[in-house]
Amino acid sequence: MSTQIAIPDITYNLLINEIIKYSVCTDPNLSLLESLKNLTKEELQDKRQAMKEMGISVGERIIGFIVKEHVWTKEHNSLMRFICKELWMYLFGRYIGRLQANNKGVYIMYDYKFHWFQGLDLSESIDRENFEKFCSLALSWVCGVLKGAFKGLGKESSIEAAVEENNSCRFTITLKLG
Amino acid sequence: MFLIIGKNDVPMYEASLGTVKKDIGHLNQFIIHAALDIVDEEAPLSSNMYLKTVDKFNDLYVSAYVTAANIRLMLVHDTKNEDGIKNFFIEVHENIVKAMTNPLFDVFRNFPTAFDAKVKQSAKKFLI
Repeated sequence: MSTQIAIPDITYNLLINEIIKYSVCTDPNLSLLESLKNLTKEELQDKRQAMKEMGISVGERIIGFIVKEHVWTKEHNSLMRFICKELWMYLFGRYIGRLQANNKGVYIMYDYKFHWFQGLDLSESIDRENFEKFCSLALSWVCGVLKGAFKGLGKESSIEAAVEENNSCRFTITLKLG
Repeated sequence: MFLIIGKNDVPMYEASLGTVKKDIGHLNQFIIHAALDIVDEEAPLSSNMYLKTVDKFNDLYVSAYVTAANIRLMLVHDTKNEDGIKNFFIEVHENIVKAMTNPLFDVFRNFPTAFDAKVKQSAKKFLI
């Protein structure tokens, strides 16, 4: 159990991209870009939900591996700090950039080095709208992992994510109090 | 008698490990369930997962260990063996986390037979 192999997060990135491609390209004759363009709002929402559920499943199990060495904390602020440090370190090999809190159980996490969309962003053949569709699918998975992690610690949460300029991502987490 | 209790106080796993000399009907399950309230009280106060001996019934002790996901590992025993029991709980916890990596685990909510063998092995190592 104590042997931890560090996997560069490019592996998850590429794997998630393949999962999204598999999920979106239902017609083998259409390219990814065309399939993205053809997605209706409902279909996109369904796929995002599916990605989120995948993430929740992963998050629940990962938290079991991490928390073994540390103790669960009941206080929200220390819990959030734990997530920002340990979970991000476990998944991405670094700490998340910044954590903001308003004392009503809403937290915003900024990751300034979220490289997952760098390749896509630089591509000239994708327009903003479809770029955002793709990003929302990948980010749904990460939100799911966060949600699953909280679930594994016994907390209900709701998570949203948005991608911003220059490889940064913003995650908004609402924890149910108590 | 060793019980693993999950969400909503539902027992997920049960094993007789020879830690109690006389086994009178279902008395051991009853003792463990009675001790659950005490575990729920003490768990948030302790910063450790291992809660040591939480309850005593006649000459039987109940020890408990709570994981992050609020899964409770409870053991009824008649001899004190804090270190051995702690190591036993830690090994079982590791095996639970490993079992969780099985994608079918959620659906059936039953630990596979290999888990049973591992628990008995850990018990032999640490409890006797």
